[in-house]
Amino acid sequence: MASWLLGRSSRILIHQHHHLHKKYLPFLLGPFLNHNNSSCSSFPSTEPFRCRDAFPGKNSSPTLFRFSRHESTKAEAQLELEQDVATEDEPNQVIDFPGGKVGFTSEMRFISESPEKRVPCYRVLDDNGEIVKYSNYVQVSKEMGVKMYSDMVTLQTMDNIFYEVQRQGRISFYLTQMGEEAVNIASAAALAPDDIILPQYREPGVLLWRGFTLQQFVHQCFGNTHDFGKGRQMPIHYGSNQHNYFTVSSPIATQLPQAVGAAYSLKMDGKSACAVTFCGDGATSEGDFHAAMNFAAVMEAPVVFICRNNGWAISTPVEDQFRSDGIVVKGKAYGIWSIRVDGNDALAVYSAVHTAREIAIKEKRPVLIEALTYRVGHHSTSDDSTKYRGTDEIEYWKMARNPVNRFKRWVERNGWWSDKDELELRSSVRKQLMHAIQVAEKAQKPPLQDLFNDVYDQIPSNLQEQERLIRKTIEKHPKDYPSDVPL
Amino acid sequence: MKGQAYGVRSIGDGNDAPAIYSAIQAARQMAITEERPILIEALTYRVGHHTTSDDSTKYRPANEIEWWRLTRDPVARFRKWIEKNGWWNDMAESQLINNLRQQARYTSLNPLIDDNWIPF
Repeated sequence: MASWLLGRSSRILIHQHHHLHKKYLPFLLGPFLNHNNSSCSSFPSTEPFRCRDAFPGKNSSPTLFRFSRHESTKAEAQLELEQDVATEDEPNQVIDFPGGKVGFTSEMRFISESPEKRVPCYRVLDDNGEIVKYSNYVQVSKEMGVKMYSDMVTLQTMDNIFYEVQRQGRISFYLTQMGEEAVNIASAAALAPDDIILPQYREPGVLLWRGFTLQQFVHQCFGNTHDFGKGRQMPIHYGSNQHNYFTVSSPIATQLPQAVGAAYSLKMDGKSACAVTFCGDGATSEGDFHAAMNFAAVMEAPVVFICRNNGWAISTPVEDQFRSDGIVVKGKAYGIWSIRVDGNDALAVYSAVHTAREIAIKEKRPVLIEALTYRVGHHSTSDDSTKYRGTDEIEYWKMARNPVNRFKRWVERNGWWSDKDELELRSSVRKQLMHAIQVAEKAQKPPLQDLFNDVYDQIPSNLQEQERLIRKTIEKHPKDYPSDVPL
Repeated sequence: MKGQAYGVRSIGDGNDAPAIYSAIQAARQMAITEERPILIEALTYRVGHHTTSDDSTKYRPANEIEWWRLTRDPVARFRKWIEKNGWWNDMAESQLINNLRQQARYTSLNPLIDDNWIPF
């Protein structure tokens, strides 16, 4: 049974819906027009991230959805999400409910837990880096395309170097973006500097795009005195007021309802900007995800939710995370416009985020984007992912589905990039990073006082007392105190 | 609609007792035999105030309340059905109401008499 939510403010939305449909119809139809070219089309619908044909002999994994039916009450499998499941007996038989008018049906029909046909995945570039025929997308200029590609390469290089630096014990922790470079950079490219970013942790590409220097990334990872965060958080917890990038925190999904509040504030201030928040597939299982989605819809907040569905939450595969058709269908449950995109297609991500941003700001409403991708790297330097997934699966996504390589083919075909440019870029970034690491390693750690500053705006007397006590202890045991941390 | 967001089978019904009965019976059967969750959305209306601490006429119109209380009453609707089946009548209704009143009266005259923690 479908219900149409009606409230005072929503009456206007009903009208806007019709208007919006006309304006954005060509774009919104894109995903469906390109269904046959979906990057998911080569997979059986029940195994979006594993393909038995591609990996003969591999143990079969449990299917995502069970389609068994109870005989006396067969659940109707929906052919598409938009199907109207209400069957009205008579034209005038409706319940005029506080939640809106709902038609009656005399047939006891349960809505299937999942549609037979999955929500299609919007795609612009095929694996060969060619524009899919009849594709509807937002054009990218040469300057934009080259910068996008350059930043994707920079992210890759950062990952390779930082990962090794952690293995050498020079930094305590690191987390790579391998396989998710397109989601990072293309999203950032589609946004404006005034848009406020609330990241999870695997989105430093957005900060890179906005001008955070390689040196600053390194300073944070080393936790030295030049780190904006004053060395208080573990590596990769970047933040920058200047770049409207909220500081990362470890608890999963907490930033989602915060993003809704920030978006509501932007709306109240009449800003032509939106909040953009990122999360992984695992975050959608947190209660804060539910709170954020509902608040965003009810408060009509201009926020864009970008979910990186990379198939894994550390060692937990998506089939143990949810039994829905991924995350895109969750938007409808809250009354939020949603779309599923190929996260390894930079142009598809760019187009979807660009349009979602426009919708959020102009219509003052939330939008949900599910970017299907794959976590090629380990979850973090504390993880060995070969313990719970096959190396052939990793290699497949790393080689055949690589987002950086796919985009490179496109910019090369446009005549915007060459092998010479590639060599120069990779060499240059590598040198910059090596230099940045040398600088960071020689820099001092933050002073002891910074352990007590910024807990509150002013240091209360009890914290002052604690600082005095620890200094007294250090005076007694000077050899036990690290020599590179100033007093 | 929220059921599908979680991969859960769902259905909606409300002030219709047989519809609720049928849906829950079928849902129970599916849940047990197929080992899966089921979501039922029962569309109804809160006729009374939220609690004795609430005066709901402060935020919703009286005519809306009256409409649901009189026209959409689930008890009245079900009574019509069982009467039509010949299973109920005015006399049985009166007897039931009197019986319940007596029980309520008896209970109120002897507060806490069955509470074990009060020593006698």
